[in-house]
Amino acid sequence: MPASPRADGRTMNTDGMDVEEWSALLDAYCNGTIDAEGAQKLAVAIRSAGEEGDWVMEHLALINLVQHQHDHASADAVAAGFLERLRAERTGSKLVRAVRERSGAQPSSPVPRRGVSPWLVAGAGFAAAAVVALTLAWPQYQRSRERGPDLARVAAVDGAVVIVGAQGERPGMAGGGLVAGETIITRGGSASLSLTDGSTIAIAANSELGAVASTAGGRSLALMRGSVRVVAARQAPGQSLSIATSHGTAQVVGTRLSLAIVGDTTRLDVEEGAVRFASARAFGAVTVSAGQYAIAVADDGPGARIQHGDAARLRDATALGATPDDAEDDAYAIQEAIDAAAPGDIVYLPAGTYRLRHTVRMRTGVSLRGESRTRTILRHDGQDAATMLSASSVRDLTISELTIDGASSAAGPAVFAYDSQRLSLHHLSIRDFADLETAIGIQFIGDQGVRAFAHGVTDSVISDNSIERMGVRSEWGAGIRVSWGSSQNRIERNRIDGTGRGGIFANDGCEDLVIVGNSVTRSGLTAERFGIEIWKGCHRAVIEDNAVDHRISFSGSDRVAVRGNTIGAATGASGQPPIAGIEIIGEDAVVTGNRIEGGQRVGLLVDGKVPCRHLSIARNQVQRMHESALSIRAVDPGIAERICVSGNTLAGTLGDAPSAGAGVILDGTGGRVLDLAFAQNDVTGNAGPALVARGSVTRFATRDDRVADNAEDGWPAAASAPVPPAVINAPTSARVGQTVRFVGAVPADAHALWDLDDGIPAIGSEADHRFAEPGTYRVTLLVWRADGGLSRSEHALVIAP
Amino acid sequence: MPEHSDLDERALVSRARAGDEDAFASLVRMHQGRLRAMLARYLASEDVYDVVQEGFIDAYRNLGTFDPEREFGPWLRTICRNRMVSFLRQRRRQRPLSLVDEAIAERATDPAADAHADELSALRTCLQSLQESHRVLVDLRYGQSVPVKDISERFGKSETSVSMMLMRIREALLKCLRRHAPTAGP
Repeated sequence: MPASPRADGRTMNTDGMDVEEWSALLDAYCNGTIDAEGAQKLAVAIRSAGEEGDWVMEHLALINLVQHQHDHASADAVAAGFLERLRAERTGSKLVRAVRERSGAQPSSPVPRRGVSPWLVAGAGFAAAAVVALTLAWPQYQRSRERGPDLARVAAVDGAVVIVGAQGERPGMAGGGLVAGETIITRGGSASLSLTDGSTIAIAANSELGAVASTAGGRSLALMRGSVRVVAARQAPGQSLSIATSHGTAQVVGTRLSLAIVGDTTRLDVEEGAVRFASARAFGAVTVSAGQYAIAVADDGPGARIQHGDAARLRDATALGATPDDAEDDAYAIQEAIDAAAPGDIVYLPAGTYRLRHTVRMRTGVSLRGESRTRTILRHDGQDAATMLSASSVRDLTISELTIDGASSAAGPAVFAYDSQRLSLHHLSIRDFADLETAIGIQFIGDQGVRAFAHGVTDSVISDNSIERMGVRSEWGAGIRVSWGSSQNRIERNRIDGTGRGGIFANDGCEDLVIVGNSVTRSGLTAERFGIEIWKGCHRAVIEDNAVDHRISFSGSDRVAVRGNTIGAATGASGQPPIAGIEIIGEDAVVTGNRIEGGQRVGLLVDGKVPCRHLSIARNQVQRMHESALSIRAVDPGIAERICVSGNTLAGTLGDAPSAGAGVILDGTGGRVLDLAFAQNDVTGNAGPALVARGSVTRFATRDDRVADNAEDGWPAAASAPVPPAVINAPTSARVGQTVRFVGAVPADAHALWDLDDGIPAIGSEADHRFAEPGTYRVTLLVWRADGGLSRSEHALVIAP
Repeated sequence: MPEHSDLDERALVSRARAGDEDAFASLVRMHQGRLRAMLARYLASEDVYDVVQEGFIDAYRNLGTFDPEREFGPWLRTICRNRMVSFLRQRRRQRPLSLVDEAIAERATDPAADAHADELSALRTCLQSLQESHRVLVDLRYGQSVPVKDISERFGKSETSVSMMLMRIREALLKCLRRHAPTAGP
C-alpha cells in the first residue's frame, strides 16, 4: 500500500513502508513486544519529524489518550496521592505509610508497564485514593469508632504513659487494651505491650507507637518517635508483623529486633532471625540478619539507599573520644579509632559535626562510615590540614555516608589516595573547598618522573557522591581527578556542581577507566570548562551516559568509547563560547549516540595535532553550534585520517562566529586530512555552507548524505560504485555474561575496528566480549583497506537475561 | 477542570510558598488535568500518573525558586516535561523499547506541542460518536489492553483486518478531535 488516505483528506506518502506496517510497529511498541529492527525504524521515523513521524506520534498520542480516558480512577488520585506522599515525606506521617501497607496500595511506586489492563492500574488508583481518604479521615475515624477488638494488651507501665484514641486521652494502665487507631505515648516513662499473637514490644521513654491494624495478613504498627524493642512470635503462615516509620518498614515473621528513630533516620538492629527492611522512599529493601544493623535515611541525594552491615564490626568513634558538635578537634580521636580497629571493622561516626584540624589516615581493611551523608559531617577546622582524609598505601576499605566539608578554607583534596587498591568511596557529600589548585573532591595519584605510573590507585570505585563548590575561583578546581597510573577505576553516578575547572579528569597513564552516569553542572567557573577530560595515555576508557554542561575531551588516548552522553546547551555566560562539545584526539575510538545541544564553537572536533586515525563517529546529534557541527583538522602540521562519519545530525549551525557557521569544516592547512567516509548524515539548516574544505583534504567519499537548506549545499558526489560491506560472522543472540565471539573478514593488510555498542572498541579481525546487560546491541565493524578505503557493516545482537 | 482566576492562583501560590500544603494541593487539582493531557500524548496511562506526581513533588520542592511574578502554569509544565523526558530516557538499556522512548523524548521537548486539558473531554465526546461495535473494539484494545491476536480470535477475523479496522477508527477519532479541539489535536 503506497499511500493511505487520511481521515482529514491529506494522504500519507509512506515511501516504502505502508500504513499497515507502521500500525503493526506501533502496536508492538505499545505491547512492549517490538523488536530491535522495528524499534529502530520507529525511532528514525519519529526523529525525522516527517510525515511518517507525525503520523506515528499522532496515533501514539491518541492511543495513550484513549487508554488514559479509561483510567478514571487515577485522575483524582494524582492530587490525592501527591498530598499523601508529601505529608509522608515532610511531616513524617508514619501512620499514612502503615495504613497504606494495610490497603496493599503502593501509589508512589511504579505500577506495571505496558500490556497490563488499565483496570488493574485503576484498582491501584482507587486504592491510593482510599488510602488518602482513610488518612484524611483518621482523626474522625478515631473519634467515632466503636472500640474494636484489642490488637495488644499493655503488659507493664513505668512512669507517665498515655493512650490516645477514639475516646480521647487516657492513662496507660497495665492490663488495659490497645485497639487499631490508638496510639501509646511514653512521656518520660516506659511501657511494654503484648500483642495478640504473642509478640512483645518494649517501648522506650519519649516514644509514640500507633496500633494500625490487625488483619488476615498480620499486625501493623507505626513508630512515630523514639524506639522500641520487639520480640516477635513466629507468625502464622501468610502473616507478618510490620512496624513502619517514615523512613522504612520492618517486616518480621518471628525474631528479636530493635527499631529507633534518630533524627531523620531509622535504625534497625536485629538480634535473632531476619527482618525485611524496606525503604519508605522506594530505594529498595534489604534483608537484615541476626547481628546486623540497617539505617534508612531521609536523603534525596544520588543513589540514596539503606545502609546495612555487621553490627559487631562497627567501632563507634565517639567511644574513643570523638565528640560531635563541640569546639574541639576530633581528628586524633577518629585516628585512634581507626588505628585500634582490625581489618574488616568499620569506624562509625554517629550523627553530628566533627572538626578536623589534621589529616585522618586510613588503614588497610578499616572502613569509615557516618550515619548518613546529611547527618554526619567532617568539617575542616584550622590551617594545617591540606588533605582531610588520606588513603595511601592501603587497600580494601570503604569511606561512605558522610559529608566532608572544607568550610571554604581547607586546601583539599577532601579524599586523597596514593598507591592503593580496591577503595570504595560512595554516598559522600563533599563541599566547599578553598580556591587553591588542590581543591579537588577525590584525587587518586601515582608516581611521576622516572618511576612514572607506578604506585597509582587501582581497582577502585567512586560512586553516588555529591561534590559541590570545589575551588570555584581556581583554574584547577575539580570534582574528581585520577592521575599517573591510576588504572582500572570506575567513576559512576556522581553529581558534581560548581567547579573552577571541571568535573572529572584523568591524566597520564590511567587506563581502563569507566566513567558512567555522572552529571556535571556549573563546571569551569574560572577556566577551561571541562565536563570530563581524559588526557595522555588514558587508553581504553569508556565514557557513557553522562550528562555534562561542557566539553567531553579525550586526547592522546586510544581505544576510547564515548557513547550516549549529553552535552548541554552551553550558556556562554563568561566570555567566549566553549571550544567544543566532544574533543576527539586519539586512535581507534568510537563516538556514538551523543547529543550536543548547542552553544559550543564546534560540536564534534577531531584535532590531528596528535595523530587521529581509525575513528567511528556515528549517530550523534549536533545542533546550534557557533562555528561548525563537525570539524576535522590537522594543521601545522598534523594528521587526521581514516575516519568514518555516519548517521549523524549536523544541523542548525548559527553562523555568528567569524568563520562561516558551516555544517562540516575540514582543515588540512599545513597538515593532512584524508580517507574520510561520510554516509547517511543529515547536514541541514546550517547558516553557512554545508562543507568548507581547506588545505590538504584528500580521498573524501560520501554516500546517502542528506544535504539541504544550508547557505550553500555543495557536497562531494557519492561514489559511483558502492563499496561492498564488511562481513561479520557472529551469533544474533546470546545471554548475559556469555562470551560472544565476533569474526570479521579482514584482509591481512587491512585495519579493523569494532564498536560492540558496549565497552571499549576492539581491533583486529576477531573480538570477544561479554555483555553485562540484556538488550539489543548494534555491533559495527569498520575495515580500512591498505588503500585507505573503508568497508563497513552492522550486526544486531540480542542479549537475553 | 474547574474555572479559576489568576487572582486565585496567585494567592494559592503565595500560600503554598509559605508552606501551606493544602494550597499546593489546590494548585495540583487546578493543573493536573492539563498536565495529564500533556503527558498522555507521550506516555502510557500508568506512567502518566507517576510522572505527574513526581513533577508535582519536584515543583513543591522547588517552590522557593519560583518567581511569583511569572505564570505558574508554564513553570509547572516545564517541570513536568523535564520529568517526562528523564523518565523516557531512564530506561536506556531496556532496548529496544528505549530506542523509541528516546526518540519520543526528543519530540516531547517541544513546548509548542502542549496539549489542552479539554482534549480528554473532547475525546469522551468523540468516543460517544463511534458506533457501538467500534467502541467495543477500542475499549478492548486500548481500554483493556487485549492484544490484537486475542481480539481477532474472539471476533473470528484476521489480525490484519482487526489492525486495519483499529487504524481506521483511530483516523476517525483524530478527525473528530481536530474538529472539537482544533488548535491542539493529539
